[in-house]
Amino acid sequence: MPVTGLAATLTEDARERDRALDALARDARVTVGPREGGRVALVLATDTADEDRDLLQTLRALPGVALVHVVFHDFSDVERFEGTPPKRWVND
Amino acid sequence: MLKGMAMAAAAAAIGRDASGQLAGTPPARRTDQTEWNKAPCRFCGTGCHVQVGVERGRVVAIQGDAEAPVNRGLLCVKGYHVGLALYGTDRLTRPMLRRGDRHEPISWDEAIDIIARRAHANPRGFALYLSGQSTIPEGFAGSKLIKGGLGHNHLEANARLCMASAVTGFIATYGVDEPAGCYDDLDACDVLITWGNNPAEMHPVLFSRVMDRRSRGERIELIDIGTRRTRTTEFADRFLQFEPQTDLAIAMGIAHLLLRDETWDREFVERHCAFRAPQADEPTLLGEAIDFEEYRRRVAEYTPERVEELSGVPAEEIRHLARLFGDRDRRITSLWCMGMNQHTRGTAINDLVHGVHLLSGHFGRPGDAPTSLTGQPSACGTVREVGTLTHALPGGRRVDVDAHREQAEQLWNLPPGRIDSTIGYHTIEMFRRFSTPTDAGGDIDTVWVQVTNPGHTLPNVDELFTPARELEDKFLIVSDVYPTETTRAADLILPSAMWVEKNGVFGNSERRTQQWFKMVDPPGDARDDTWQLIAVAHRLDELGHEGMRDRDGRFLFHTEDEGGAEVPIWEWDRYYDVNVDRRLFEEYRGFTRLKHKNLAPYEEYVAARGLRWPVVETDDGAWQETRYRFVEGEDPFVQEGEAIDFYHSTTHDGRAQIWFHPYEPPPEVPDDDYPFWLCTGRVLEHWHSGTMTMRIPPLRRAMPQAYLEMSRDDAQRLRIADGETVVLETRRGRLEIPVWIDGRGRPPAGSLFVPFFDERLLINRLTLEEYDPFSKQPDYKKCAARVRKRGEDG
Repeated sequence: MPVTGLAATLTEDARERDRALDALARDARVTVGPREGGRVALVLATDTADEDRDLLQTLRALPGVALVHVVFHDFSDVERFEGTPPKRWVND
Repeated sequence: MLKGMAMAAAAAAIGRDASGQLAGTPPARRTDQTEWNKAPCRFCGTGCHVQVGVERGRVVAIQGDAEAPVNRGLLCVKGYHVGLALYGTDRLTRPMLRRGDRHEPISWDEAIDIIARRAHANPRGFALYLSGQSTIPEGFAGSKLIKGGLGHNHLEANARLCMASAVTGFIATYGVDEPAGCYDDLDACDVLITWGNNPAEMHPVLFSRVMDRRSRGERIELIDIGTRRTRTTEFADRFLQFEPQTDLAIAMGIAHLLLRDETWDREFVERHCAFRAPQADEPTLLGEAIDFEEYRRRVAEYTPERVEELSGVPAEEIRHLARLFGDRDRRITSLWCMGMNQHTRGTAINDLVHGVHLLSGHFGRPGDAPTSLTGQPSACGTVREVGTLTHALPGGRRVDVDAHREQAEQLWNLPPGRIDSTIGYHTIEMFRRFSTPTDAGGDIDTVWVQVTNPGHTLPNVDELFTPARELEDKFLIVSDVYPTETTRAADLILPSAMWVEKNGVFGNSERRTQQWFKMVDPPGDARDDTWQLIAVAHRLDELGHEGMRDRDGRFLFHTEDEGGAEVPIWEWDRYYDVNVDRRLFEEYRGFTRLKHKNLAPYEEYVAARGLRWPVVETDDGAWQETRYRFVEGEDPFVQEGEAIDFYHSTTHDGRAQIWFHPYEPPPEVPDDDYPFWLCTGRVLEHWHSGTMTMRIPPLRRAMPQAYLEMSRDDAQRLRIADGETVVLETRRGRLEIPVWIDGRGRPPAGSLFVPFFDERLLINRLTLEEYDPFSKQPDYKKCAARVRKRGEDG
C-alpha cells in the first residue's frame, strides 16, 4: 500500500482553507495531521500507486491548497509500479 | 507503522512533530534494518537534501531532510521519487563495443585500452564532454587528465547549453562568476521578479519559501515576466507578457525611468559602480568605459512607450517596475534561469538585470539580489568552479592567462609549459568538428561523453551530432547509466555508477558545496566515472604518454594510504581502499583561493548539509560559510568600512559595471513561411532528457510523452483538434507530435511550446544552433516554426 507524507501550504483565504481542511478530513484515504501557520501535515494511504498519484493531483487542484510537497515516500514495493509503459496519445 | 513515519516526516517538514509539538525529530526509522544517510538530490540545481533509507543493499525510502537549510524537509515530486531513478529495468551493466550494427559486451580492460589508444594516437583529436551532473571530483579528474595530462583544452560540459550566459553576465558585471546572494533572499524579499523563469515547476521547493510566507499573511508582490504563462504565473500579481528577445528593452526601460525620475541610488552608484558598453568593433566581455552622461543618453531611447512598442508590455507596467526599483524601502529579488540564458543576447540580458539592481541600489541587503538559478545539481560546483570548460582551469583560472597556467602547473606539480595556452573548442564547435570529415577540417576524431546526452540535447542535432555517425574514423565513447539517444549512437558504451552508488560532491545554485557517501553498490559491472578517467590515465601511462606523469615522475593521480604506500586506484578492486573523492577534493581546495571561493576541508562537508563558499576558518578553528558576497560583515574578504567591495572588479577599483546593451532582434523571427514562435523547455515531472524520470513509473505515467502546446485561437484557425497529431516544422527539421490545446501554459496566439524530455519526439531536431557571441550558449527558446495537419502539403 503506497504511503506518502505531505506538507501542504494553504492559501491566505481563511474560508477557503477551512473548506479544504473539511474536504480532506472527509476523505478516508487522507489523515490530517498538525498545522503550523499556513501549513498542514497530511498522509495519504491508497491501494495503488496510480491512486496515490491521482489523489496527489486532486489535492494540488483543491481550492484552499496553494502548494503540496511530498516529504516521505516508501517504495519498497517498487516492483508493483513496473508495468507496460504508457502508450502515446491518440493517432499513434 | 509506515503511516506513522510518513506523518512524522510531514509534521517535521512543517515545523511540528507528529503530536503537534514543535519539531526536533530525527528521520523516521522504517525498520530496525533501515540505514539512513544524507545526500543532495540527484536532479536540479536547488540542492535539496534527502535522507536515503537503505535496506539490504537497496534504496527503499526517501525522506526530505528536515535539517537541510535549503529544503527544510520538503521535496518536489521528482525529489521524492529520486530513489527509483536507480532501479529502471534497463540499467547499463557491461561495457559494450559496436561491431557492425550491434553493441557487444567486452571487458573493462579492453574498453579502457581502446580509449587510451585513441587518446595516445591523436591526443589533440580527443575531446572530453562532461556535465553539470558530474561531481566535483569527477570534473577535477577530467580537467587534470585533459589539461594537465594530454596538454590541450578540448574539455567541455553540457552546462555550456544551460548557464554559460549567466557566467559571462557575472564576469562582465562583477569580474567573477556566481551569485552574490543566496536562497535566504527568498525569505526576506518584498518583491520577487521572475525573468523568463518558472520556479513553481522547475524549482518548486524554492518557490514554496515565498508562497509559505504569503500563507502566513506576509505581502510579497510577485511579478512574472515571460513569453508564455506558466504555473508561476498563477501565483503572480502581475504577468508581463513580452515578445521574445525584448526583455532587453524592458530592462533598459526600467533604467531609463530610474534616471529620468531621479530615483536611482546615486550614493551606491557613485561609490561602487562604473558604466560600460560593448565596443563597436570586436566587442569583448570587458567592453569600453562610458561615463554616466553617455549611459543616460543611450538609455534615453527606451521610454515606456518605446518599450511597449518593442515588447508589447504596457508602458504602465514598465513604470510600475521602475517605481518598485526606485523604492529603497522595499527589497527586490530577481530570479532567472534558462529564459535569460538560452538566448542569443544572453550575456546582454544578464548584464542588464544586474545593472538595474545596481543602478537602483537593490543589492547587498537580505532580499535585495539578482540571482540566477541552475538546472543541474553541480553546474556551479563542477562546471563553473572546477572549470570544465575549454577556456577554464580550476578555481576561476583561464588557460590563456600565463600566471593562471603557471599556478595550475605548480598546484598539479606539472613541468612548466605542460598546459596549453590555446582555448579549445566550445561545445557547438566541438561537435561541429566531430561531425565534419577529417579531411575537411574536422579535427576532433574522438569524443568521450560522461553523464550527459548530447544526442538528445544539442540544438539542431541532425546537423551537429548525427553526421559523425556516418564517418568511419570518428569514435564516440559514452559513459552513462541507461540507454539514451547518445549511447545508441556510441561506438563504445561504459556502464556507470550513479548518485548514491558512489561517493560524490556537488555544488548548488547558492554556492553551497554538498558531500555524500556511497550507500549501495552499482548494478552488474557498472563503475564510477572518476575511476574510468583514472584507469584511462594509467593505461596512457603504460602506453608511454609522458603527460601522465608529474614533474617528479609520479603518476598524475598518485594516491597514498595513511601509511604512505601507493594505492593502485586504477584497479577497480582497490579503488575504494581509500576515499578518492576526499583525495581529489583536497587537491582541488588548493585552487579555490585565487577567486576567493575558499572551501573547507572535506570532513567539514561530511558533517554539514552543505556550506556556502567562501568558507574560512575563524580564530576558534570553526569553518564559517558566507551568505552574501561583497558585503561588509558577511563576506570575510571585505574590509571594515568598505560597506560593499567588488574585489574582483574588471576595472580593479572595487566597482561593478552597469552595462548598456541595445535591443537587437533575434536571428530568426516568424515570417510568412514559418509564422509561429517555438519555445522549448522542461515540465514538472521530467528532468532534462528524461533519462532518469522516464524510468520512474509514477512520473512517466503522470507525463507520458511530449506534446505541442498551442493556443485555442490558433488551433481553431488551423482546424486542429485537441490530441491531434500534427506536423511541426522549422527550417532544420520536422516532427509529428500531438497537440495539447492551451496545455499548461496557455500560450499566446502565434506561440508554441514543446518540452524536450521525450527521446521519441526529439524536438532538438528542430531547434536553432545560433548562440550568444560571448557565452557561446545556444538559444532553445525562440525560433520560427509552422504547423500543419498531417496529409496536408508542406
